[in-house]
Amino acid sequence: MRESRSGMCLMCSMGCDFAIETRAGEPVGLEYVAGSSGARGKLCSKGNYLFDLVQCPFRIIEPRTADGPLSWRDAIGFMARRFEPGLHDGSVGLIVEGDASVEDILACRLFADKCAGTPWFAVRFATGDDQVVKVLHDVGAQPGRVDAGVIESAAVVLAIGDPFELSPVIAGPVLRAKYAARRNVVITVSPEPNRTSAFSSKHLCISERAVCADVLRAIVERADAKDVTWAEAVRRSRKMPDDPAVGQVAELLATRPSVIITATQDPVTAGLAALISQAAGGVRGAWWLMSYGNAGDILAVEDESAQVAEVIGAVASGRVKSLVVLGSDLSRNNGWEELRGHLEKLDFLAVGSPFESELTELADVVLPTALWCETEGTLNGALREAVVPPPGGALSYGDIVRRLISNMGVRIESPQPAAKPVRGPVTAEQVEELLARADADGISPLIRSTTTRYGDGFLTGMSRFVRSQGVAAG
Amino acid sequence: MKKLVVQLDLCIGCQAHTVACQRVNHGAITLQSTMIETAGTLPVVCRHCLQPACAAACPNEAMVRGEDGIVRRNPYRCTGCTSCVLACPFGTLSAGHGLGLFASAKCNLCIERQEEGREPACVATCPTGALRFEEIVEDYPSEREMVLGSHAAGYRTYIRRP
Repeated sequence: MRESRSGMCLMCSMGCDFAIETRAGEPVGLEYVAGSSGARGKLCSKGNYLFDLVQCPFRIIEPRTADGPLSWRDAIGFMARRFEPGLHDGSVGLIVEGDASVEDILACRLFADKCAGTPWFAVRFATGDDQVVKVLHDVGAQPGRVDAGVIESAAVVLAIGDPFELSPVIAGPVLRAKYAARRNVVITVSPEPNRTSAFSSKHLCISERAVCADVLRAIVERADAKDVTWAEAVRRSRKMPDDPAVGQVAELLATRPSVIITATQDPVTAGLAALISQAAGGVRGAWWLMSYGNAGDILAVEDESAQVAEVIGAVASGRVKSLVVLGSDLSRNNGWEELRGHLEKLDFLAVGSPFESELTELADVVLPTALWCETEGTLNGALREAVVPPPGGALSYGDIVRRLISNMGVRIESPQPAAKPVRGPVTAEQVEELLARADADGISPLIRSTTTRYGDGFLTGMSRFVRSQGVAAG
Repeated sequence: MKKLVVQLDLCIGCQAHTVACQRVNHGAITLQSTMIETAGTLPVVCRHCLQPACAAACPNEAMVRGEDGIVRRNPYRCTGCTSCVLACPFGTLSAGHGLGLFASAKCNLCIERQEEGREPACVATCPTGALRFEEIVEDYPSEREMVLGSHAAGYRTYIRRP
């Protein structure tokens, strides 16, 4: 029986719709869903690789320890005994991947709070994205699903970074806006010429942060003096470069229907863009493209969580003795060799992963986890269904944790979807705090490159899954 | 007949067409891409010439232009001699892409998808709409251009915004 199930691509945060055709539960085809709000029935090269992803023959399909495969019941029991109350209180760490649904993340948080009694719970995004999420929450911004209709009707499109590289599908509505009646303006702000700037009407090839900071300063000054126009305020602000285009951009954003598309892993730039989008009168929409897993709903639970770097720091200092990693391939982190040494000293390491990695080789228990297209929950601000069933015995992060909670005999209500993130007003305190953090401890080194979860070969068609040792027979 | 058209203004060189082509053809890439030094990466599409040079060069009659105008490769006749690759004046063919050493991949405009009422996969996936599947009137000005199909190859296959 041939069936078609539609889902949402999470290879980046565009949220493009696709449909997977299945026959007897097995995926046999991938099609594009016309009429979706973001992609209009298109998928980029990364989205096309989704089919390879769900069909990858080298998935982990059963739990195992160093002694060999075991059942889920035994695996959960094995883990539960390690986390018994009083045994490891406060010394358990939990890291879950950012592509998890809101419900799954809440379940993980409840496990950390109620069962393990530990503050070391973190949600991991690709390099830089987690800090972007944190800063956006600080300034009350709400990343949402891209609306192609708003972009196409905009007179001014301000692209910060290289959105075309990170999410090629965004190029469709942006270029349609550019060519509509030949009066629309596409402006790119980036340190260097890139794929997006090649199609822009204007490229401000200055430091991302400097340009955004200039415009931001103008916003602050305008708040202090209502009779000063934005463009004049920009000119009066500090560090004003000679390029008059900056003032023109500020004027355009204030007066013309505009959208801002940010694709940067520099959280300060992302935060400044958020503040600009909230203050500029003409901005109709603002989106922050991330490597995958738009954090629209996750922000609310991210607020009180630790950063991944903090958990890793606790592992290094010995405060965390047992660690559970769900979905995150920490071996792709910078400084993996050093981290590997710390992980080898842990008393206990449980890793849930869809694929084999250097991290799973270190684990005491390896658990097969489902991909985001194989699980249900709230993602990208929408309730989504599993498009295909997970292979073998793979479970979602949330199901693993719920079984663990149940096995430990803790009674917890089922996690509910998170509350809506709060969009706060722009205040001078927020501005100063953000700039102070940027200047003081450098919370955010400028990261110009973007990363993809499964390698960088997608755009060249050269990305392949490589078989590694220790894969369960599929 | 309907042929592939590339609108240069909209092509961002993402190569999504290559991946989609590879997916529907079970690993074989029939739609090549080429890197133009400053312009970026562009799709190189088969023109399905009126008198295809690849078919003329094939020693085993593996390349055939059908009544529907589509130039196909018969996989049972192809020996992988790569004569068609050398003969194609537009560089649209290559050898050894997933079909083994003894066959060269060839675009058939996704005839199976067309029969189901769908566009070719490359057109369906193109994020910007740069690749289009449109009717092209073949009014060749000279016999030579008719042989090469260069009328379509020139300003009909690669177009810019008017």
